[in-house]
Amino acid sequence: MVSHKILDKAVVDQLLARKRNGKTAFERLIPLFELETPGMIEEILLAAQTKQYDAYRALAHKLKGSASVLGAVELSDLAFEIQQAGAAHELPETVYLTELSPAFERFVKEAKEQY
Amino acid sequence: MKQSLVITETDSIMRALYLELMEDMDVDVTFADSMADLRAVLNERLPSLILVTYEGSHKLEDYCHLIRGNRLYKNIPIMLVTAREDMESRLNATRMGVDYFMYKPFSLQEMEARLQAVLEQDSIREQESLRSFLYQLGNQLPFGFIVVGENKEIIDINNNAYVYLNCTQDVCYKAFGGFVSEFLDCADPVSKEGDLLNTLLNKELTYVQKKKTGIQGGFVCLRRE
Repeated sequence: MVSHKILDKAVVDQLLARKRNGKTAFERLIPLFELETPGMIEEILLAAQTKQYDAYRALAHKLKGSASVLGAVELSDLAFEIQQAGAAHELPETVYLTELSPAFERFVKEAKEQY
Repeated sequence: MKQSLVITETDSIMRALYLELMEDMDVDVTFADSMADLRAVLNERLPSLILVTYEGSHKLEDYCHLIRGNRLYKNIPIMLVTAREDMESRLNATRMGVDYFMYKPFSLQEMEARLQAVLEQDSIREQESLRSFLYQLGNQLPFGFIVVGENKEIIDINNNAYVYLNCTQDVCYKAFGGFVSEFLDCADPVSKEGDLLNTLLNKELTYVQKKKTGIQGGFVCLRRE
């Protein structure tokens, strides 16, 4: 089940508490996440289109991991659903795929409001 | 010398997160992308801990096989970072040789505390293992020796050293405080015993020092008059 919560405040607070050179760990990690994730989402969509189950399972697993450590809970949940479908050699529900990019954008927007 | 840690993580965001975590810990971090990479890293230096991220049981098995199947690597602790908390996965991983588990999603504080505890244990284990090795070795040698650390501290001393100096352990330690700094580079004996010491220095002991413990120091050989 996909959470309606975009961001996990407890996770974000831990990253915000780590400051170095005037910047928090969250501020340092978000730009990297912003840079890496769109490409990963594209790869997931392509793998799903071509029914490469193992490929999108593995990619979704990776996305779930990085999203969860940054507190992107909604995105992490979507990735989990896609990963599960891939593991069962099934196609994920379309909504999980179409919601990936919007969920990512919602997270980045909310994340940037934290600092 | 700094402790080191190898992480088999390929995701750049997770790597950045680990680096954030290690920032305040006095530890060198190396990432390994593949088995070949891990092999190359281990060949360079033995780490205090290998942190394996779960990428499927086959890969975990390969990593564990490489580490546990090698005489030099087999005692390096392995920590598995995984989302699988079920009993069967834990049991399988333990059978493969995993020592510690960290479950995802983890809190940064928890990971930090766990790593610190494991590294501390490793440091104690290293010292004990070196001491035990030197003790076994040292008491078989027909001469006295003292192993000196990079800060000129006495790391170990064999029984013969006390005999040749004809003094108690306390006196010996006190005496060597000054003695060692004077004779740090004098491990160049020419006697028969010296040949043996040189052999040890060039082979096993140097190997142990560099590869296993990272301790850089000198040897002082005490020869019979």
